[in-house]
Amino acid sequence: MTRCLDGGKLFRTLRPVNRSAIFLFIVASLFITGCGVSVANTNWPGLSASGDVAYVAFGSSVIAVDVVNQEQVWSFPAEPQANRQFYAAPSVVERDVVIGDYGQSGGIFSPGIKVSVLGLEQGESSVPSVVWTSAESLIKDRIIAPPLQVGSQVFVGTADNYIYALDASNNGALQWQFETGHSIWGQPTYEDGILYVSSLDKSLYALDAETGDKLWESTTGGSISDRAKLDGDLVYISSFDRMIHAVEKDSGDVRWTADSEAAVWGAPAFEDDAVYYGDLNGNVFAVDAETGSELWTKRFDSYMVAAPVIKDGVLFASTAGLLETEPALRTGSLIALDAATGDELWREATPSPIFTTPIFIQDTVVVTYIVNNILNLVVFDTADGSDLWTFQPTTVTE
Amino acid sequence: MFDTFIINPMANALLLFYDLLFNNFVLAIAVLTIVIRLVTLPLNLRQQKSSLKMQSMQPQIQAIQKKYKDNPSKMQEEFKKIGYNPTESLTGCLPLLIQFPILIGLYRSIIVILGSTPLALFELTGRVYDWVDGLIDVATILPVANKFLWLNLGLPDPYYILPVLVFATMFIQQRLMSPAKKKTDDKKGKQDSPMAGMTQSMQYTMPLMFGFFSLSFPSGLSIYFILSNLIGIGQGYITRANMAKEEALANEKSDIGKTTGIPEPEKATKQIPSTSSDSESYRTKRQSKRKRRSAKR
Repeated sequence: MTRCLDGGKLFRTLRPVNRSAIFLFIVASLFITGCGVSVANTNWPGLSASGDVAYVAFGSSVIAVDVVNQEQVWSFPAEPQANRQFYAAPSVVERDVVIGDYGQSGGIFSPGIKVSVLGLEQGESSVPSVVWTSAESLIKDRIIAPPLQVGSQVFVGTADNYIYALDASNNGALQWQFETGHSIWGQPTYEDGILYVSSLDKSLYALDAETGDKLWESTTGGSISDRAKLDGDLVYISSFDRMIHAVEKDSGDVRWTADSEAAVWGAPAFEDDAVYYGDLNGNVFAVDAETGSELWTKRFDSYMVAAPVIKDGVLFASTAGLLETEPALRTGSLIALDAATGDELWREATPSPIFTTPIFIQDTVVVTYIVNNILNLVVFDTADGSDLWTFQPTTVTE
Repeated sequence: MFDTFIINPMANALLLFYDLLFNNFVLAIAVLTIVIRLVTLPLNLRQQKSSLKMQSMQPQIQAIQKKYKDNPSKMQEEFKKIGYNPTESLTGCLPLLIQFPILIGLYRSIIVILGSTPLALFELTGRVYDWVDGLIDVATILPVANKFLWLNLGLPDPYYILPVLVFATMFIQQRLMSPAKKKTDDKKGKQDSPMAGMTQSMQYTMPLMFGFFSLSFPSGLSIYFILSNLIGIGQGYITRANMAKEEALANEKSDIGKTTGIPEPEKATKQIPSTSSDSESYRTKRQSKRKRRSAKR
C-alpha cells in the first residue's frame, strides 16, 4: 500500500502502453467533464417590467425590450459567454438595474462556481454599464430569485440558502446576511422596514431590513417557491402543502388557510378583497381575503406554475401543458377570467408551456416562453387576447 | 425508455428512502447504493473468483501460447483442455461496464431528485409514481434537503475532499478485486501477461478517471461513488479471506498426503494465491517440490 503512494515512481515503472492508457483516460476525462463545471441553465426565463420596457433574463443575456415601440433597447453583456447565464428576473428602479447570475465555473481545478450580483446603469448605449459587482467569494450558489432594490439597499436570495443585503452605494458591499434552511427562489418583499423572505425550507421569515435580525418565522407544511404578497395587515404565501396561508404581519400567526388540490407554486394575486391562486393541477381559486372562504373555483386540467396576475377585474392565468402529457408535447395557454365570477373571457394558445409569471405594460399582458431553445416574448391585448407582437431577441445564446 | 426503466424507478426509490430515513438524502443514497451492490453482487463475486482462477493458470497459459503461437486452433483446443476461456480476461472490467447504465441512471436521478432548479423540480413531479405519492405525500418533502456537512449536494465539493476519496477508495477496491501481480523471472519485473497488464492499467486509469469526474460532478454523486467503493472494499476483503481459508484447507490436505508418503497428483496440489504473500509461499512450495523430485531421481 505504501508503494502505491509514490505515484510518480509508480508511473515511471509502468510499461509505455500503460502510461499511454492512463494519459488517454485523463484526456478523455477532461473532455467528458468539459474542462470544468458546466452550469446548465435548464430554466424558464425571468421577466420583469418598468414603464414600457420588459426585462427578460434567459441564457447568456439579459435583454431590455420596449414593448410599446416594439424594439430591443439593450442587451447585457456585450459579449455573452456560454458558461455564464442569467435566470432571475432583473430588478429595475428607474435607471438602476440589478441582476444576479447563475454562476460561472472556475475550471476543472476550481470546482466551485462564482456567482455575482451586478448593479447596472441604463443609458443611451445598447449595453448598460456595470456600476458595481458583489464580492467574488460571497455567494456560493446560483441566483434564481429576483433581487429587490429598496433605496440603496439590494436584497438577494440565493440557492445557497442565504438572503444577502448589499449596499449599492458602496460597490455592493455586504451589509448583512441571514441563513434559511433551504434555497430561496422567491423575490423578497419589503414594507415599513421589514423584509419578508420565503424559503424552500417551508418558512416565511420577517427580518429587520437594516440589521437582518429575525423578527418572526412562520412555518407551513411545504416549500414556498414564490414571493410573499402583502395586503393590509396580512401576508399571503402559497405553499407546496396544498394551501395558501394568510399570516399576521406583526406576529407571523396564521389567521386562515385556504386549500387547493395540488401544490401551489406561484404567489397569490389579489384585488378588491379577494385572493386568487392556481395549483399545479390547473385549478384556479378565488377566496375572500379576510376569511379565506371560497368564492369560486375553475379547473383547466393543465399544469400551472406561473403565478396568476390581475388587472382591472380580469385575472390572467398561464398554463404549462395538459396533465399527463409527455414533456416534449406540452403546449401552453394564457387564459383571461372574469375575476368576480371565474368565467372565461378569452384564451390564447402558445406553442410551448408558459412557466414565467406574465407582466403588464399599459393595456397589454406580456408572456415569455421557449421554442426550440429560442426565447419568445409575446404581447397580447388584455381586452381580447389579440396577439399584438412577438419578439425574438437577437443576442440571446444558451 | 431509459427514463422509464432506469431513472424513474431510481428516483422513486430515492424518494421513498428519503422519507423513511429522516429526510436525509445522503442516507437515502447510501441505502440505494447498498441495494444496487446487492443486485450486482453475484456478477462481482463471479468476476473476482474468475480473475483469481485465471491468475493461477497463467504458467500453463503462457506455456501453451509459446508452444502453439503459430497454430491458433490448436492453442484454443489446449486452452479448452485446461478450462481456460480467453474471453473471460475481459471480465476484469465487465462489472464496471454493466454498472455504467446504472451509474448514469443514478447520476440523473440524483440530479432530478435534488431539483436544484425550478424546471428540474417541476419535471420531477411528473416522474413520481402515483402510489409513491400516495404513500409519502411527495409535495411536502420536495425539494429534498440540499446540504450535508460542508457540502451542497447539487454542486461539486469545493475543497477537493470527495474527489480524493473517490480516487483512493476506487483504487483500493480495484486492487482488492484484482489478482495479485505476479513477477516473472525477468529482472525488470515486466509483465508478459496481457491480462495482468490490462488489469494493472485499469487499477490506475479507472480511479483517476472517476477522480476527475468527481471534480465537476455534484457531490451527491461523489458520495455514491465513495459508498459504493467502500462496500466493494469490504466485499473484496471478505472474498479474499474466504479464498485464503479454502487455500489453507487445501494445503492441510496436501500436507497430510506428504506425511503418509502418498504422492499427491499434481492437480490436487495446485493452490490459488489470493495475496502477494500467498504467491510467495506458493512459489516456495513449488520450488521445494522440484528439488524433492530432482533428489529422488
